[in-house]
Amino acid sequence: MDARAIAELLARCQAGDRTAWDTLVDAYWQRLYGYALRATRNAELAQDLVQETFLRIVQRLGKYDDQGKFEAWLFRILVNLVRDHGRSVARHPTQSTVIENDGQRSDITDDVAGKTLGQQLPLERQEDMDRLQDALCKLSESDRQILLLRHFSDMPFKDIARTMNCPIGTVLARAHRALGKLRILMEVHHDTP
Amino acid sequence: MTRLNLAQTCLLDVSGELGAKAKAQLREHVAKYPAALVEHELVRVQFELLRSMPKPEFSEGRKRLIAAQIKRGVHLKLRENETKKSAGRRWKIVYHALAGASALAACLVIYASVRLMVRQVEEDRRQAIAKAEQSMRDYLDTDAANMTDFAFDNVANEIRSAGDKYGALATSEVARRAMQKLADDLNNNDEDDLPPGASNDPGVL
Repeated sequence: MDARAIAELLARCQAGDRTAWDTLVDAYWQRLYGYALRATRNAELAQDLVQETFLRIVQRLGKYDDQGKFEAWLFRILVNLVRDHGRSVARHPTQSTVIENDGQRSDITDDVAGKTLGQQLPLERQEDMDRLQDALCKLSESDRQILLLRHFSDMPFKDIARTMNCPIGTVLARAHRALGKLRILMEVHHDTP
Repeated sequence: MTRLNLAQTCLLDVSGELGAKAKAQLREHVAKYPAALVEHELVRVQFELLRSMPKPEFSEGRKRLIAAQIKRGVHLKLRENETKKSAGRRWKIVYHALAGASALAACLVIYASVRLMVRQVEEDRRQAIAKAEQSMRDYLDTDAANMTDFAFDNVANEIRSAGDKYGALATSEVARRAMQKLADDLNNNDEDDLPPGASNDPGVL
């Protein structure tokens, strides 16, 4: 959707056109959900966060002045919601979706996300994906955000820079560093007997 | 081109975000410098690793379900906002109506108070005029020829004080009649007996 189409759509949404809201949801929910699902590894939570993102847009769109940065705004809301959720889980471990099992860390929500993502994959490939997912989890929050936004939300680096409110050079440097770390983590895993 | 810039450019290239001109420059640079080629290949492999992660794929039914749930939430919120807005509008109307009614009531109270004051002043004036008229009537009933200077002064003072208090208009008619009578009476008497300050000209004290 180009900038002009988005601007027109937003104007209709601001005027209270419900069909326009449906179009807006259709245009973005999958990209938002893709990011949220990978970031939270919980399908229900991801859906809730995406819904909350749209509700905040409903709440604030009246005061929003479109300057061609809607996507960045939309994703920034979701990224912040995911981050806040992560912090809240860290503060209140009883609400955590992560459990310790025989010293091995595993996510109870993996079942939900794993089923969705890995049903068609062969077992070996599935294991690789799990390792990649674990490696992603070991990255710093901002590095992980960049990779998830780039891959699961199909967001170009320049839009990621807008979303994260930092120069594109910084985003590219972080992405490069994060990809390097990811590769090293995967190699270490392969080298370990 | 520094190493970091090369890495950044390679990253943009492998992610398909590099413009045609920059892409051509990069190709040229990579072809020229083997180290750049290595860097480009490294970035490509790293990015492929990320790309290899499967994206969530859902059946059409599941997609429709998720989208419908999100839309339902959005519609509920929109309805809630509209209700809030119309309630706010209603309160605003009530508030303005109450403010208008209060202002109107205040104006009515002020108007009624002013009317009462004016009526009271009018009443006082009427009473004063009646009193002055009564005094004049009493005076007219007396025999002016036998009236002492003291009695004349009393009448003149009464007219003057009524004039001071309620204005010349309130007493002018009474005074005119009194002075006319006084002048008539005095004309009938000796000119030398005229009281000091009085003249034959009616209406002048």
